[in-house]
Amino acid sequence: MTPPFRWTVRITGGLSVVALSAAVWLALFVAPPDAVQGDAQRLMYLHVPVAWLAYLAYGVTALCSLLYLIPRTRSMRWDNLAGASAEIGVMFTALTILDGSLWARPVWGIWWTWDARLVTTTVLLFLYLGYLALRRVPSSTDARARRSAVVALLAFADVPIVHLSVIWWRTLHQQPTVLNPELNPQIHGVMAVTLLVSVIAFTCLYAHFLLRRFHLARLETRRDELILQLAAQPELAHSSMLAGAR
Amino acid sequence: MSDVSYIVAGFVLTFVTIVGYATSLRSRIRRTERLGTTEAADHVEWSA
Repeated sequence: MTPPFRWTVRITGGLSVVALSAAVWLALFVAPPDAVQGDAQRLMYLHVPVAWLAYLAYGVTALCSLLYLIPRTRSMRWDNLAGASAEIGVMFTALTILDGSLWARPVWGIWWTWDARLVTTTVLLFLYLGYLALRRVPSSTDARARRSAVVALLAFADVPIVHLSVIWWRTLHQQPTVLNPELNPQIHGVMAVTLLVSVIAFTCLYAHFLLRRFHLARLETRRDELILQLAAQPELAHSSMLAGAR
Repeated sequence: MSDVSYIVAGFVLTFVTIVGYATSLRSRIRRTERLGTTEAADHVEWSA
């Protein structure tokens, strides 16, 4: 890790801890309970940011995949970044569904229903689980990166469907409060500030995880290249083992 | 269960997942950094 990269990782990590602490304090002790849903609505301060982060993570994956597919910008860096972001996106999508389920139980009286928003989000989770599985299929580096990039772009088509599902179909899930078609957020005061702090905190966390996962992807690529290099030149393997023994 | 139980469950689940992922990333990075060369050499030895 180069020193500027290491410092960026540390700064985003520190910012995440501070911002997440502030978000939890605001969500649990400062924001007022909702007039209709009561305290259960406090789960919004987790559910909305993790859902936003899943969108962002898949957006980054799609953008990096596109950059890989364009011959002028093709670089393994984009493929590594796309894979790193998708893995984080999968974690945030799973959290979106689980937090949503915990919020649905006291408010709707059920853990799960075959609602358009819930189903399209679950489809999104499985699409990117498939994408991550595809990345592990043994192949040449370029072939793997190329087919993963195509699948990532196809899978991203589900993101706008998830977001617009509550507008297109009659659903139990509430309509968009902040990113609604009128661009007129139906939230104000302390609740809006708490949600904003929470979104910023989770975005810092995403940036921190992305940098670390990207670093890991580069290490794995380097290790795989070394394996190929050593397999092609057994005498290098011998000297490498001797160096390791020393 | 009261609303508080669901809130506690949601916050605990989220932060345990985040800490778990951070820990997993750290150990994967350390393992790849430490064993990269050795694994490569082992691989060649086994496939030879």
